[in-house]
Amino acid sequence: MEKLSEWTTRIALVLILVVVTLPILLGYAWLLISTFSLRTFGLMPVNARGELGGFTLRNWSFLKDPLIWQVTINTLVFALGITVGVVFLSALAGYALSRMSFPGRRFTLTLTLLLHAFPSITLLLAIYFVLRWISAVPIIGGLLGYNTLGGVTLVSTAMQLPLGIWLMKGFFDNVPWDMERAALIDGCSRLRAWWAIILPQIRPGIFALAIFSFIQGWGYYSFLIPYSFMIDQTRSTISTYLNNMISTTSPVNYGQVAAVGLFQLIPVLLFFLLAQKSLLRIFSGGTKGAA
Amino acid sequence: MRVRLNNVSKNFDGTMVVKNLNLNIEDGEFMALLGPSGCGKTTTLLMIAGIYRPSEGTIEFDGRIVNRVPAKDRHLGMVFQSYALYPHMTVYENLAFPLTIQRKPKTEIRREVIQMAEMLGLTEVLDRKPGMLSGGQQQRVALGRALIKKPRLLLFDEPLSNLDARLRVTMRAEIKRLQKELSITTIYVTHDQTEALTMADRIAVMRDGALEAVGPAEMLYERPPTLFTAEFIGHPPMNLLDVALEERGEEVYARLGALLLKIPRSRTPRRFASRVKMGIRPQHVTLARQGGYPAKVYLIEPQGNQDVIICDIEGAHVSLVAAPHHNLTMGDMVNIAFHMENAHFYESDSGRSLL
Repeated sequence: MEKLSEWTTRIALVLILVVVTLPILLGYAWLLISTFSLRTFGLMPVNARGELGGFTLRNWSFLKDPLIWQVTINTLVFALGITVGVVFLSALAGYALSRMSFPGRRFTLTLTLLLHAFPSITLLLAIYFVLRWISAVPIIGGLLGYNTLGGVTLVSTAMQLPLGIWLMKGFFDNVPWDMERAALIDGCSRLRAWWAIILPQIRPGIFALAIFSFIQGWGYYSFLIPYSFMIDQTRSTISTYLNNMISTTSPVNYGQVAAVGLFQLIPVLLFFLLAQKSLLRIFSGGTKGAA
Repeated sequence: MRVRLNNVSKNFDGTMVVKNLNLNIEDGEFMALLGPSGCGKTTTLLMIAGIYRPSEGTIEFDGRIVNRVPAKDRHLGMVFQSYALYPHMTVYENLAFPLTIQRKPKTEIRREVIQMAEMLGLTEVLDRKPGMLSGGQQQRVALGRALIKKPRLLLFDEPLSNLDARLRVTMRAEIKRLQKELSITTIYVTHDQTEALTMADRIAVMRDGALEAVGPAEMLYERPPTLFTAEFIGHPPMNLLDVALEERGEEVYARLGALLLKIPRSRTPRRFASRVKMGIRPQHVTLARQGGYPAKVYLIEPQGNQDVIICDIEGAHVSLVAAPHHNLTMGDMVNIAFHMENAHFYESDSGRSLL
């Protein structure tokens, strides 16, 4: 009797999970199937007469276009730029906010949280003027100004920083003070202690932040800023490239859109497969082995 | 290295944690800072280490003021209560770390680490991470890391409180032996009076951020200069009884309720105070076959080699140490004798000794 109820609970649980996950799984299945089909009827690839068939590689022909590779490299530079920028600056700022006492510390903390909650769309106009202004500065303007990959990276990094700083601060808070004191007494400067002793303790946190930042840069979330501030097609990122495909006046080839989408998904999936272990470890804390 | 604290104070956001501390530590001396938790002893140690900067006063190393010298330039080693080992490094790397920072050549580091590991019995575990070591081994690694750069001053912050009782006794002896062999000036913070009494050359008793008493163990045990020291040092704790001093002709008596205890000349208070506490160690109160004063057994605490018997007498509790097998039970009537040649007298309000 008891065994029976245990089984029914288990079956019920699995059923609930299946029902909830199904729409997402179906979505991915459709994405995968439609990239290799002329068109689809539901999940079924069909030919012109509506019969099963119509398999094609035509949707992937965009890979032959040199522009996609240029765009991919742009996106990679963009995403990696954000990742490096966000991780480096958050690790420094988070440490300062966690460990140092300086005037305005509380204010900075509150402001950081506030900025995180601030909708970035409202800043678009102001950012436009700032980037235009940077463009006018010689040398720097060409790297970080309007309509440059650098400028867009800079702005996107800034948008990500509040969250990153808070995350890092939380991780630093969990590193015991004694460990840092020991490093100072052993002969480290504050910076050296940060680099050689404290950072290794929060490696899972750094990893997590790096992954989140990369995905933000790579995926569709960061569409708005490249879309607004980069007009050259050769400088666009995958998300703006995708957007162009949908918004052109000619009929949209959804098979091709799906193929580009899948292409965009591949690095993220790989990243997750490789990083799954470290991602899960975040929740077990960063000071494993500390007595 | 000689260490000298001159009027050192520390306040955190207006709270005085250490108050006007004056302390001299001689070269090669083992000084214990003893006090209950929150008395400012760890703060004092961290000021000496260069982690905190004193709010007022100066700290001198060999006559040189070091208030503004950062921790890394103070040539000291420190062992923490939590050991504070670097969990991402192996034992070898932990031990080598202070030397790596000094950019010593690799071969020299290797030699020093292996020598240190041999001395501390860590040779077998050099490749392990601290998380895989026992508490005692972690403690030894922490000690080795503090010693390896041949510091001129060694600081301990409650290093034994995370060990089990047996290991604590072993490590106590080991640290003391090492300190004597290397004759490094040592400051040892503890709340455990046994550690302070057994290890230190001199003990500085702290209370509420201020220095209460300084002296060698015997001095603090035999003639505690303040009420707090009397209470804090010694096991079982000293009996402290409210008494009134009475002068009758040539003789001085301490009145405890209806009892009159004659005070020998050697123990007569220098001056009389209105409220007086008499201190007498449980070792100096005995069960008397004849004479003595009637008391009722309130509680018996067997301790193996001896029993502590707490008696009710004149509305006060007096504990005494007796040999086991006394066949007493709670509620029995006994006669107890006070060995007044070992009594102490303190002014209740100031806590100062009247002897």
